[in-house]
Amino acid sequence: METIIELNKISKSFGAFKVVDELSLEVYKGDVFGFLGPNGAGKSTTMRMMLSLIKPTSGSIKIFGKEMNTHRNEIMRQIGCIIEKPDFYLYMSAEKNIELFSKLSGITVLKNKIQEIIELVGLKGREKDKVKTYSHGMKQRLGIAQTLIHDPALIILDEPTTGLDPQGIIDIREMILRLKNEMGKTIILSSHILSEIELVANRMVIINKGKQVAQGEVKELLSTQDLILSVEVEDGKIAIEKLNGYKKEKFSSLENNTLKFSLSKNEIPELVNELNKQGIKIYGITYRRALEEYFLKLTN
Amino acid sequence: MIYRLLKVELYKIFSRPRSYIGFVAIAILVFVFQLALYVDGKTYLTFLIQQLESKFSIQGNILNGYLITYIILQTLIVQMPLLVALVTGDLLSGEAASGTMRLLATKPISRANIISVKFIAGSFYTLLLVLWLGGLALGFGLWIFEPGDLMVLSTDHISIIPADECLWRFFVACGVAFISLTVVTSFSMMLSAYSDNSIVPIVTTMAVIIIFTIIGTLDVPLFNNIKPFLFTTHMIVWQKLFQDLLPVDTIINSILIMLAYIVAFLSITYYRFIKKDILS
Repeated sequence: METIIELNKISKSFGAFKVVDELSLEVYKGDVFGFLGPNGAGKSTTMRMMLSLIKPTSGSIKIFGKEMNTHRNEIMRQIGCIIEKPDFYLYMSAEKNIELFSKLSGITVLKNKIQEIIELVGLKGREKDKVKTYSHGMKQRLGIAQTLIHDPALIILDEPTTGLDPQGIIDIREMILRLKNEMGKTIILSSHILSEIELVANRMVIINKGKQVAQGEVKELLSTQDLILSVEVEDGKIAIEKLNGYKKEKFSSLENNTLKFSLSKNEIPELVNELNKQGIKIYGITYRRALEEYFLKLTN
Repeated sequence: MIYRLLKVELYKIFSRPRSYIGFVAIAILVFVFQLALYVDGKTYLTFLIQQLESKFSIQGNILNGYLITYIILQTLIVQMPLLVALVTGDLLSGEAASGTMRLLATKPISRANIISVKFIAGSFYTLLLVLWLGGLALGFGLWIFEPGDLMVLSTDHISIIPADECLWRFFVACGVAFISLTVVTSFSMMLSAYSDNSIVPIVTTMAVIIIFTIIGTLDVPLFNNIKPFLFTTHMIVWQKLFQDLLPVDTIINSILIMLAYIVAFLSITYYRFIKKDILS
């Protein structure tokens, strides 16, 4: 597997405040890599370091096998990005913005290529309008167009669905999958919403307070082998007494008559049988994957 | 690549309505001045030279195109730093405020090149403003009024510049005024590198120029020692081109000091911008 991005123990401090703390990760060619964390976790700062907008306090960044410090321009030629919200020259048309940014990327793009990209992101018919007349969703689409215009191998998208309506979110999600599947792009996508990452990413990292919490294949990290089961019963204390130590090692807590167990999916029927056998009335059963539960706690 | 970037930067400057405020303001002011002097110039001139006329006999066409141009330049050039700072103070901070700096700084362009190109574009804009002012004042001045010898009144002497010398002196004066205003360009750009909104560098540039100009005009011994070090002291050196005997050494000295200021301001801008974390 070809490594596209390699962060080696990068840290960033603003004064005494450490925003990113010795973060290491690897992104491989063809990955849709999810970058997950609650607000303020250090996602945007890390992405800005990958894009040389912010200099790391320590650690090294290698992209396409080259050091960012020494090969910055060479690396940036192959990257397209949206950081936070897509901002453009509002007094110019979308078409002109795309043209200018392609020139800044060091390429001259033909008019029909611009039209092609405009059509791909669904802005056909509005390309001559000034960007100041655009909605947030349209600017987000234009941001994607700007990202793609110089045909980069790596695309970095920082919370690209923020502020979009449900249809806009679906469109962006589909576009990301098309970029991966049809165009073979490597994509890094940040979000504070786990389900969003789960739907598009094959690998991910979770960070909190600048530190890595988990990293790996999305399927493995979000496997059903490690679940948090919540069982709502009539009276929690009586239920614990009746269970009399059954699956004691799996029991984790009792909150408002809801018993919580850490177990795998195939252990659920067995537990439900035991609860029935003991005559414990069950009002509801829900489960979350352990990482999902952990992430929900992080994001409160 | 630099040429391509420069074209983009100039396009950005000239596609913004704000960039034309200076040109429109200058055109209006020049028109108003020319009209006022055309209608009532003789009364104005009589007022100016009434003391002289008691001691000297003044003959010939004093109220000519060159005098009008000189009066306009002397009056309007004071306002030029504001018009320049309106655009150049916005070159970096405006991009930071609008968020486009994020995109610009992720393109395969070095930050040093971004500064270089913005400085060249800002200077080009400044040059156009100076040429616009000089061209309009001189063009309309010579068209509406006749050419003639230029009489310049100073506090301690009168200079008479022959008509055939006026044109090149105005041309050189515009060049010197351009260097003066380039000091403003580099100064406002330096402030722009420290700010993420446009108002701060524009207002600060004007505040500094006003403070330095006031210090320059006050005849206080304490201030006399620092006056030679203020860039505003040297920004009015273009006026010395309209003396009978050209103080070449003084003019060159002032130009060198202004160039040193430009280099210093630009160096600080490069240092700041290259080191800066782009958080906007």
